[in-house]
Amino acid sequence: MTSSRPVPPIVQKPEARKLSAEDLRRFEDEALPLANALYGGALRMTRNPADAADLVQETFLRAFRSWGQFKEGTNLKAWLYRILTNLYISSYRVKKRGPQLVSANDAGDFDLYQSLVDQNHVSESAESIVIDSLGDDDIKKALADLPEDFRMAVSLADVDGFSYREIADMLGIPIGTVMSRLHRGRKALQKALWGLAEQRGLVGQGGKLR
Amino acid sequence: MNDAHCQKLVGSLYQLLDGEVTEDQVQFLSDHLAECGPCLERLGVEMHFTLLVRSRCQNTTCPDEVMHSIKTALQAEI
Repeated sequence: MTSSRPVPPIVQKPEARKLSAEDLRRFEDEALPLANALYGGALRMTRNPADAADLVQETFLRAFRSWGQFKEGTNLKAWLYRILTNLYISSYRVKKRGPQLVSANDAGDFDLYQSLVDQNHVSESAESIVIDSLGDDDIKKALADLPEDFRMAVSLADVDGFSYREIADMLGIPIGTVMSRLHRGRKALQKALWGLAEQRGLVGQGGKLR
Repeated sequence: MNDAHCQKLVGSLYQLLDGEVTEDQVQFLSDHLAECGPCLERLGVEMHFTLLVRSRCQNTTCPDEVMHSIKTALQAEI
């Protein structure tokens, strides 16, 4: 898990001071190595490479303009993600947000462990579960297909490794809501991947693995 | 096996997995896990699943042309 050092608030004070070449060098050294992580996060939010590229570029620009307000010793990745998430919510999501299919797609009762037990596949479960044999693209697509609130929670916690508090701050929601979205999102993802494993014949109807 | 204890574990499973349990919860949960094989297996499955999602989704690279345009845009700021 990412350390849960406090995430400082983003305060946009335009033209607080002129940024120098030295500021840029430091920013490039410290912030730009996080570009892969940020781009991955942006791609999981927007689900579209062109929008992800724009979102990441805008995030780095805003971060650099606020660079004077970043406090050394606080969590830089969480600070950048907070800018990324705010930008996504305020601009990208507004124009593209589709219908939220939360109730139609609720899998709060799916039980991966019990499903494995029913398939006589639990003894080696901690080392390997049937979902392992699905491809990276299958798993990425199943995550991308989750309703947005679930997708954001699972992505920020499970892929990016942020704490409940950090996610709550980024999304502007209470910790209890983070927990509930994460719970339902993980169950929905498990259900989707289990369904895919069934379609592929990796788990059979008769309670046995093929 | 103790159904009430198992229920309690299932209810806090994700918090445990995410390192978000309180100290008194930790004591109860570790005591229960020490004596309940199925709950330990359940925890193993959930942990495995979470790590699977992480390892399969974390391998994205920011394309070179995007890095290039970020650097160009930053350069224009000073």
